[in-house]
Amino acid sequence: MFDNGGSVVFVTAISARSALTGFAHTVAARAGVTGMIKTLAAEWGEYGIRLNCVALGTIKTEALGRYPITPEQWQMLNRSVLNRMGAAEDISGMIIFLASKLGGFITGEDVYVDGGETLHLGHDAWDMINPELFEKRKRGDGKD
Amino acid sequence: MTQENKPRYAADLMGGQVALVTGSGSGMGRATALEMAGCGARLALFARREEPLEETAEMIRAMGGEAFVVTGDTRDEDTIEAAMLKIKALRPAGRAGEQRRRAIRSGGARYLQQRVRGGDPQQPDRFLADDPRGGGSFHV
Repeated sequence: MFDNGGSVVFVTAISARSALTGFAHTVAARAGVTGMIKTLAAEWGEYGIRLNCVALGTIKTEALGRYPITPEQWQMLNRSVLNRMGAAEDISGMIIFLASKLGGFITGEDVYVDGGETLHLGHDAWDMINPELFEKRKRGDGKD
Repeated sequence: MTQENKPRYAADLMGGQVALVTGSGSGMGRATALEMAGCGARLALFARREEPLEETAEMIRAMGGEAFVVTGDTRDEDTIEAAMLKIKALRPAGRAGEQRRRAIRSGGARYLQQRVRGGDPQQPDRFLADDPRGGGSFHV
């Protein structure tokens, strides 16, 4: 690869830049990969080697079955704003983009393929700017 | 795992490229390998278990693509090295300058580690170990 150039695509997760309670170890590792590819991209650009990573949201694959969580529960946990979980093809499309000449001028990037999952903030601003909703929440009535 | 029949990318987008896809026996790895094959890449399929990889390879050959299987563990430097040598052997003689190889990795970083100055491939665990300066491989 150092003779002919190439492209390396790492797969990380949205936890590379946001919290995932109970998983500090994997969050640290994923954030570490992001930092590593940025530095190596700067070092190895002269060899024609590009390095990028794809950060995943919640993707529906058979691996989800390894968690003690039902498919319905996964749907509840899913925070995508697109009303669906990601599919394997959502990820492969981005990996191929980065690995091929389409991404020929992209290096050291982390691309978030998460259906908007990282758009969420700790507070829901609708509650904060709407006194009626805020009062309901305070009373424990929920949003409705 | 379903693969869309209608291709999203040009059939020659990755022509002349060899792609190493880790974890290509299932899930996202398999989907990536299949779609890359549809883009004209030759595939090196890498994972720990041989059987799922062979399944992926069969799927690729059935669509007229080229794939070979390399079993190994991304935490084991020897198996990564063997995979890279196999890929190197694929390159036709005399076309070295034309052919650009692409290695696609998902997951670990051990292959890169051995390429980094000062890295010790025999102690991969040190990569994320207790060195406050940022890991055993990255002293500068």
